[in-house]
Amino acid sequence: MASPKCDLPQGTLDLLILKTVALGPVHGYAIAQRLQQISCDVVQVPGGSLYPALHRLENRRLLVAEWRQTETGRDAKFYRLTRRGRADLEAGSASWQRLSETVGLILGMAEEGAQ
Amino acid sequence: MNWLPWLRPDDQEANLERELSFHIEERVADMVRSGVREEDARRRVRLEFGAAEQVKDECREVRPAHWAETSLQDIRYAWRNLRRNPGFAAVAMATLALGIGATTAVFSAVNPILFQPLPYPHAGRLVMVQELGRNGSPRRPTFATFLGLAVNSHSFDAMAVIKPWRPTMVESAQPERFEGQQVSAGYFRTLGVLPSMGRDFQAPDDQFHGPNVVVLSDRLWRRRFAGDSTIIGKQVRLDDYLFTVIGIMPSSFENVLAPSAELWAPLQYNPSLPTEGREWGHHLRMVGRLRSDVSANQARNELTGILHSLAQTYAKGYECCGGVPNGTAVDRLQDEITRGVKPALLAILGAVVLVLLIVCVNVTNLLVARSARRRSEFALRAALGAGRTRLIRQTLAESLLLTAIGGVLGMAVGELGVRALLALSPFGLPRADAIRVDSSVYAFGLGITSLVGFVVGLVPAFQASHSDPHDALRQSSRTTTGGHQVTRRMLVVAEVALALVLLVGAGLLLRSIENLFAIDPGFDGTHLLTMQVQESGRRFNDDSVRARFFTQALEEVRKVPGVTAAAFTSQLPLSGDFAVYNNR
Repeated sequence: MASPKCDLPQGTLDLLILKTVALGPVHGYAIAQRLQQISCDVVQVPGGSLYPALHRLENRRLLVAEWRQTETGRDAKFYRLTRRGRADLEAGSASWQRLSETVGLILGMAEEGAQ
Repeated sequence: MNWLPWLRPDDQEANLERELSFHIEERVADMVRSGVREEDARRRVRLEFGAAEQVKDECREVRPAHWAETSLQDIRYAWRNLRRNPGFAAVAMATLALGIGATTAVFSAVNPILFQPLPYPHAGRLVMVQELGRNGSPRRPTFATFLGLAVNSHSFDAMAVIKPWRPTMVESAQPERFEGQQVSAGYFRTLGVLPSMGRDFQAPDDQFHGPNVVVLSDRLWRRRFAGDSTIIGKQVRLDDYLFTVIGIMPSSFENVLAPSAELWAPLQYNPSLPTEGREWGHHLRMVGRLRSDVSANQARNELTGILHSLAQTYAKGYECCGGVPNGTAVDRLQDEITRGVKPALLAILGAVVLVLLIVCVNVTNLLVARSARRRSEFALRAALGAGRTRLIRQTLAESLLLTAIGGVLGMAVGELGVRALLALSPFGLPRADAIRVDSSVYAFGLGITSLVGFVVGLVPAFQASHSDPHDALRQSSRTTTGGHQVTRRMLVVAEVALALVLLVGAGLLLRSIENLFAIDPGFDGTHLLTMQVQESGRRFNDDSVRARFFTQALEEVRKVPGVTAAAFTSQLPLSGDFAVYNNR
C-alpha cells in the first residue's frame, strides 16, 4: 500500500482494459484484479469507472460479452476482444508508445539543460 | 444482436445487477479468505467499489438508447403532471393555441405576398417601368413611350405593356363579361411563362388592324369550353367579333398583375403614333425583364436618357396628353404590386408578434407560479440524487409538451384563421390566390412552437435547478420565496407593457379610421347605389346609338319605384377608376 496511487490520464483506462481482455476472455472483477496486481497497486479502478468503460467498449463493438461459468461454478459476464477491438488496441498502444517516448524525451532534455 | 437488450430493458437491468453483485461478492470472498471479517470486508468493498446504485446509474448513462429512454420518461412524467392539473393545462394550451394560431395565420398571408418571390423564373429581374410627370410623381406610360423604349433600350431581355380588357360573350345560353387583358406581344415571354397548349403571341399578332386572336386561362378553358382539347384554332365570339383561340395558359400560371384576368388579346395599337390618338394616353402598365447583368438603377438611367430624346422628337404628342415626361421609375415588380398593402401587412405582423409575446409571458407566468408551488417536490428530487440537468430537462419537457399540444391546436386555429382572412381580404389584395396553409406555413408553425416551448420553459427550469434543496425542504411548500415573487412581478409588468403597446396601436388605428370616415367627400353617400353598365357589340360603334342606349337606360332606371334620382358617368368620384373600358 506504500506506493502512491495515481489518476489515469483520460482515455488510458480503455486501452488498459483492451490489453487485459486481449489475453483471453475475462470478467470485470478479474480485469480490476489484474490491473491492480500488474501495476503493483498503482492503478485502482473503482466500479464507477470500470463498468461504464466496459459497457461503452461493448457498445462500440470493441468487446463482446457472454455469460459463462467461472472455475468456481458461478455465473459471470466474460468479455472478449473483437477484431475491431484488436485493431483499436494496436493503434492505441502504438500512439501511446509514441506519446510516452516523446514526453520522456522532452522531460529528459529539460533535466540535462538544468544541470 | 446488440439491439435486443434495448427492447428488453428488464433483462438489461437484471444483467447489470448480476454483473455488479458478482464483482462485489467475489471481492468480499477474496478478502474473507485473506482473513478479514465479512462485515469489515463488505464495508471496505463499498468504499473502494462505490455505491452499487451509483455505479448502475453511470452504466445506464453509456447506453446508446439512454437519451431516448430518459426523454421518454420525462415526457411521460410531464404528461402525468399536466393531467393532474387539467385547469392549468387547459388555460395554458388555449392561450398558446390562440397565439400560435394567430401568428401562423397572418404569416401564411404575409409570406407569399411580401417574402416569397413572385411565381416566375428569375422573378427578381422583373420590374415595373413608369413615367415621371412634370412634378416628379409617377404616372402610367403611354404606348408611344413603350414603343420608343422597347426599340432603343438594351437593358431588358423583354418588355411589355398591358391594359385591362373586359370583353363580353353574349350569344351563348349564359352571357358573361370576362376579365381580361390586352397585352403587347412579349407579355408572356417577359413573365417567363409560355402557354401549355397552342402558341404564344408573336409580333404579327400585335399589328395595327392585326388578326383577332385570344389566349385563354386554364380556368376559363375548363369552365366555358369543358377543357376541349381541340379548341386551338377554333373561333369564339367576343363583343361581336370572332377571335381565334391560339393558346391555353398552364393551370399553374398566376397573373399577379391582374389576378382575375382569364383571357388575353394583343393590344394592336398604331405604331405610327397619330397625335391625339389612344397611343398617347397614360393608361398602360409596363413590365420588363432586366438582363441578368443590368441593375434596376442602370436601366432607369438608360430609359430616362431615351425618354428625354423621345420627348424632343414627339413634343407635340406628349404635349397633348399630360405634358413632357420628367424621367422614368424602375421598381421591382414585387415591390410595386405590394406597395399599397405592405405597411398594413407589416403592422398586422407586428401586432400578432406582440400577441405571441404576451402569450409567452402569460404562460411563463403560469408555469413559474406552478413551479413555486412544486418547489418542495423539486427539492426532494434533488436531494434524492436527481442531477441539475435532469431537473432542467424535466421542466423543459413539460413546457415543450404543453406548447406542442398548444401548437397542434394552434395549427387548427391558424387554418380557420386563414379561411377567415381570405373571406375578409380586401378586393385587390395581391396574390390572394397564393394564400394557403402549405408546407412552409407548417414549418413556420413548428419553428414558432418549439421556440415558444423553450422560451416559456427557460425561466421555470432555471428556477427549479437553482433552488437549494435544504432550504426548500425546511420551508416546505407553505410559503413562496422572494425570488419567485420578483420574477412573477417582472413578468406581469412585461405583460401589461406589451398589452398597452398593442392597445395604444389599436386605438390609434381606430382613431385614424374614424377620422377617415369623418372626411366630407363633397357628396351625400347615403342611399346611393352604383351599377356598372357596358355596351357590347358592333352596333354601339355608332356614337348616336350608344348615346340613345344610355339615355333610354337612364330613363328606365328613373322609373324604378324608390329611385329619386339617377345619372351616369364614365368615372365615379373617389373610385380610382381610369377609363379602362374597351374602345375599339
